[in-house]
Amino acid sequence: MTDNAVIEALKKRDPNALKQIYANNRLAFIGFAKKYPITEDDIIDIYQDAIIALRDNAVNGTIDELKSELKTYLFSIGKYMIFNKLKQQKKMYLVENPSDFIENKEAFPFSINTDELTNEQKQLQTAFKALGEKCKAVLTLFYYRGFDLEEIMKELNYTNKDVVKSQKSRCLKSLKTMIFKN
Amino acid sequence: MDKKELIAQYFTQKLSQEAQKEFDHLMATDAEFAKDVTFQKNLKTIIEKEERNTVKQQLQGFEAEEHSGFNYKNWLIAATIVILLGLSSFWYFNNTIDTEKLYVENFEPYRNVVQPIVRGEAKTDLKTKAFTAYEIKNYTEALRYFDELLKENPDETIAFYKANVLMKLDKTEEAVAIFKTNLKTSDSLDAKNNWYLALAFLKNENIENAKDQLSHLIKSESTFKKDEAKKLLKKLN
Repeated sequence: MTDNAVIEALKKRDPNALKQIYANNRLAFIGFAKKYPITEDDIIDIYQDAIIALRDNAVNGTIDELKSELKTYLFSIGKYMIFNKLKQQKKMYLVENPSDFIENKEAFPFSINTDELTNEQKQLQTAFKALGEKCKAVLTLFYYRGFDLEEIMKELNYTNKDVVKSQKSRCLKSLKTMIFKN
Repeated sequence: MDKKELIAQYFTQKLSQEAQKEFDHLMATDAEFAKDVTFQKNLKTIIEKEERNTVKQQLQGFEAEEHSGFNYKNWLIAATIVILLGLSSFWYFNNTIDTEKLYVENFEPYRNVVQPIVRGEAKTDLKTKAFTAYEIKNYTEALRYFDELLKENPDETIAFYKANVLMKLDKTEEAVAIFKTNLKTSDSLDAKNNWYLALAFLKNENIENAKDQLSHLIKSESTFKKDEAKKLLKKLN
């Protein structure tokens, strides 16, 4: 598979592509990370988080025009995360921000979301989990993948856009009801 | 434009320049509108989080597979290697019993059955101190206390625990000496001494002597570690 094909497959949430990219780069990444004073468990954990960040950035279109190899990109995310971890564990004193250590930052656009959830968001999370599968599917396509109504209609085999639209607002409404009931 | 439509376009990143202006204006002036946008932004955040959790679980599954090796392809490769090695160099296998691995798999210091330690009870006699250190795996300190105890009163059981500590501290030769001395007199600890002596020999890659001790243990009337001894002996043969 070419890098572009892998990115496309990741966007479609293809588990085989995910598995392939995980298995193909795993050993190389472990070897690379062992240069740093970090445990093997942490390495695996970081590797998984780097893959997740890679997938996020594939889904949201950030790396549609990636200038480097996908592997190089993955490793630079990993390296950033390792530095972050070392900084947290105080095994490394960084004068600058960990991201300053990534060479050619322009070639490696990425965003990593590690913020803790606010109380409001936690409530919303509980409510979201309680939603039906249809609602979850519609909302995920809309908010996570940025699909418009027409794209959602095609993806989930709805008969027309208006059905999707009313389905989506029903889902939002039941989320709000659940939250305000609490 | 309809407010709902405006928000929808914001999230699908389809706002025109003009619509963006309208959006910004409403954000600044319409509290209800701003509240709804915040709500949906939060929703986006938690959906992203859910997605990440799902993927994390998938990845942890892949990782578990890497370790179990229970997949068809790996088995096929493993089987091929075993067959090739078996055909071409049977003798080689015989010489490469991984004693270190067998030792680690089997060795575990014998549990404390001498001095029950009650947490929070402030006994300070030497025996309690020794076995407390032993239980919390502070082997260096345990060794010191066991030595003191033995100086006061030579005792085969205490010596046996001391030997366990020595094994833990990689002083295998000293441990071997104690187990051997203990075995000169026959008593209820014999099977245990056999077992640990076998493991000590194993650690020193002295396979023949290890096998000898295991055979003694299996022939004895004790049930201590009998199954383990049989399994281990089979691997060594």
